[in-house]
Amino acid sequence: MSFLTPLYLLAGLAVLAPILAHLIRSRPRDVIDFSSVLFLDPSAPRLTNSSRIEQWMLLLLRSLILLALAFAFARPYLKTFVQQTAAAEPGKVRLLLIDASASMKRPGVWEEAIEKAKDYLSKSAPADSLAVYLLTDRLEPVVSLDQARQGPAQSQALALQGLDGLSPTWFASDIGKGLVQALELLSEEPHENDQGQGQGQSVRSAQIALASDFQQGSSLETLGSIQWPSDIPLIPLVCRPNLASNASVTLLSNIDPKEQESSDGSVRVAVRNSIHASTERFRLHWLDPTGRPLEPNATEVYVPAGQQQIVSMACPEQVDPRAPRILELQGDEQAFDNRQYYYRGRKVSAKAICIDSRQRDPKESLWYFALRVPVSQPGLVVQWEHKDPSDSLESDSQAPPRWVVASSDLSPTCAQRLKPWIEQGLHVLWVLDRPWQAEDARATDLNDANAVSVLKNWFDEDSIGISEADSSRYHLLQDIDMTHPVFSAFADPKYNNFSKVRFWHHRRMEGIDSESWRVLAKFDDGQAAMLQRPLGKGMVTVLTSGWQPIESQLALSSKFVPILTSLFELGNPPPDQADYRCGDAVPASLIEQGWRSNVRRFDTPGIFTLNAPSGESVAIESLSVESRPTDKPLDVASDRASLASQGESIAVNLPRSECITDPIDLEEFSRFGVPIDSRNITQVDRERTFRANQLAEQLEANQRGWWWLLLFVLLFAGLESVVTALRSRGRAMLTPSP
Amino acid sequence: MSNAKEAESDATQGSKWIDLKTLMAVRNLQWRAQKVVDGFQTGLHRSPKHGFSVEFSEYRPYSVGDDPKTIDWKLYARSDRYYRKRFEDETNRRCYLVIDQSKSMQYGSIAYTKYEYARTLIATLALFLLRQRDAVGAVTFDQRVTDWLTARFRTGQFQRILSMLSKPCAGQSTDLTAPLEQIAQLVQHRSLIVIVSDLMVSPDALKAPLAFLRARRHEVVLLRVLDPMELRFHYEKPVLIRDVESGEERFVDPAIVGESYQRNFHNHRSELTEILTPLGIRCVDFQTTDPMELVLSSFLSMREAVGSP
Repeated sequence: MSFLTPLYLLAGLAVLAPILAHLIRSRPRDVIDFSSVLFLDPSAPRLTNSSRIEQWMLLLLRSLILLALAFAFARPYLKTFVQQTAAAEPGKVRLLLIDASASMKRPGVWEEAIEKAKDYLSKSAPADSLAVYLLTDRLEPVVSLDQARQGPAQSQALALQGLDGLSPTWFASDIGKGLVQALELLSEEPHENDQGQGQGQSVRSAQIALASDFQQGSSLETLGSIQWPSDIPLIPLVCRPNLASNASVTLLSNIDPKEQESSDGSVRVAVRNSIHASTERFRLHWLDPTGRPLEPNATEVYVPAGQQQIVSMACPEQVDPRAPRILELQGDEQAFDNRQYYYRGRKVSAKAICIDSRQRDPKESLWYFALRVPVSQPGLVVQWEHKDPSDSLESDSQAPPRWVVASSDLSPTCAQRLKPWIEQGLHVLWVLDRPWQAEDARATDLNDANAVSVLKNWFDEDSIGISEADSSRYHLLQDIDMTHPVFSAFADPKYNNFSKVRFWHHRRMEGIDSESWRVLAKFDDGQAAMLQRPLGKGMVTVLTSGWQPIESQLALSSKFVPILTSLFELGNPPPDQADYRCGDAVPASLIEQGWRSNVRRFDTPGIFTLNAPSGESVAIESLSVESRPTDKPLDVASDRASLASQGESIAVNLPRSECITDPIDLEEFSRFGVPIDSRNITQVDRERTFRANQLAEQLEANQRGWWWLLLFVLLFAGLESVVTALRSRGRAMLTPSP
Repeated sequence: MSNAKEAESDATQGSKWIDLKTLMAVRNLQWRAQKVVDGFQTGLHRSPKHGFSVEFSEYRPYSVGDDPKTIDWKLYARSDRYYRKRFEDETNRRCYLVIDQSKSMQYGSIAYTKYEYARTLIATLALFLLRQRDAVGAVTFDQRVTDWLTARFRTGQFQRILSMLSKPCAGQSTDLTAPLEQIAQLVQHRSLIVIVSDLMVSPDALKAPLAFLRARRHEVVLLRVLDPMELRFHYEKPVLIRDVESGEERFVDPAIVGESYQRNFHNHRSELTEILTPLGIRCVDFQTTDPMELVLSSFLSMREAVGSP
């Protein structure tokens, strides 16, 4: 027997009320005065005394009335008539994501995650397809959806087996991105109408479970880019660490790289404490790469719970400020984020050459202004060299210059020497800073011949002609290509006013091939002011006017230094980033320098350095072996012995987001429209339940059990009336009339 | 007790005694007492209103210091000598009627309370004794002696006793120890002390003061007045009982405590007997439904027994 509204059966408990009323002795209302209680023993009212129930028949009838009413309201029906039409329901597609980020290394978190994952998998139906993925900043399959789809029967065992041997990584987690990728995987699931799924099968509902610590460092922003389907619920398997308290230390190095260039080697570090912190006093101290303390005394830091403190940590004395070292936070029980590896790279010396005649007045020459432009970068010290066109560049062949600025005095010989460097990647700025006067025989003879030969030497073109432009009035720049890196710094309307940079003289280049030359800026008479053309791996930039005051106001304007710096950085791009994080790809610049790696990204924090034990094979090994939790070394090799001899190192740190371990509010998912309730039933389940309810209602309406029960109620009520009447009559006869 | 039972059986016949319900319905206490005593003496004397109960005893020569009013002037006229005439009444008893005015005496399950019954009984005894020319005093007490009337035989004594009994009683609890000790100290001459009370106290508390009274050579008679409900303790259903003296409330299920009440009551009575018998004190229980004549009769028989050597 089943019930349509079984909750009404609880009303049957009302039958206890009259029974209890019979059994419980109520406190007498009337108080009777008596002369003395001297002879009375105290007697407490007893709760149960079956002998007190005198009206058994009445009690039975009234209880039956209540029970029958409760049953009637529960609307019973016999299920034996229900046809068991339960068709083979298709299993669900369950996608289990396990957060394997660094924060899961906290004690107790990973074990709980694996336990909850196993529990989740074991509770799945046999027909369910189970896929398991590791979630870091991307999804990595343990049991892929394809594997799960091929054998739903074995997928549970396969998934459970796949959980063994997993361990958290040092990567960051991006829950939003991971969930979006999981959704994309599910969208590739064959639809119900697809061939091969069989006819008559219902929709295979999907479900995503995420075992994670749901730390605030995990980004959810990616979820905002999609419309989450309402029929795919997210089941959070929240794992909490044994200790909620956590503090972390972060080097604030890349906020302002130039600040790190302080002479004393001090760095700013941020110490963050979690909201539920139990400790607020910590110590910071430096270690060498092998883990030995570099200084006897540690720096005390007080960080209240939920706050962040920024401390300037000086470099220990007698230690090279640029030497690799480790900053360790002591006093925190969660050790995974208590070390920061510090190495800023070796300073590289380089030179830039300005080729200009020394015979000229310095104020009218190019080099006087060029040599004052600071083009040094973090890790790269650039020294300017001024050379006369007559000087030979041969002596510098071992160390090619990083940048060459040449004036109109550039000789064909020099141009010839520069060409192979340009083809290997050198950038040359050629400034036509001399008036181009045809009547000047010396100039014509020299310049014309030089210029044509230089251009012919570099580009094998004879069609280009150079002549002096009209200088009756000054000219301004126009049609500046703000998208080009040279001028992109001026793209903002606040800085793009070039009207104060007046050019008194400039040259005109004719016969320029617009396909090979790129004009970056023009004068207001339509002539090219700055134009570029690649040559091999290098680049030749031509400025058709000088920057000295007799030529223009460029050297005196605020635009001069940014333009020249941009031109320098065009050929010498600054390092991608000063510090590397776990999960970052091995930078392309290192690959270009000849490094080889069998991994594409750093997978563990530490300081890695180049060693050259023998021959061409050079392996990078971590010096801080004890700090590495895994035995899997970063196996990067290089065949460039020069780098190895310099002992180049890399500091790889924990991703910054992993240090923010306070738990996220699960309501955040609702903000992105992700249904978060683990008890959420899918639409299919709802339809199935609805259908079953309809069938039950129909059966109940046909059997009309409640009608019979109501009949019983009336019968019992009538009997009760008769019994009551008989008893009252009998009592009246027994009671003597006064 | 046997007398009480016998009287109870007679009372049920309703013919031999004055109807107590009717008697108690009359408010005049003097009338009540007179009716009872008249009815009682009808059976004892032929003419109770004639002659003197004061009988001539002897003549004694007058000596200085004797009361001159006792001189028999007729004999002086005949013999020219002073003789004192001694009368029987000088040998009559002094009797103190002591009535308990505690709150427990205010209880009554029938039309009148135990105190009302005891008051009538005291008035009856007083009238009866005064008619016998005994000196009668009265004492009321609750926790202590509240009113005192020295035993005398003189005109108006009965009225004084009635007046004392008419005062409203404001007693709280029953404490016989202090009042009895007080009485023992106040009553100098050997007297008969009749105590009318319900004796709702611990028997041990009675022992010392009664022994003190007996040591002062007083004769003590205890007339214990009880309500029929106190004897039977019969309630149909569980009740919450409040002690009229202490105000203590106690839940009572008669089905449970009925037996123990009876047992406790009889134990109390037995203890009383055990204490009173060695002291030579008799105690008789009366219900408030017992006829006054019966009580009076019991009192006389008791008095004879007490007075007998």
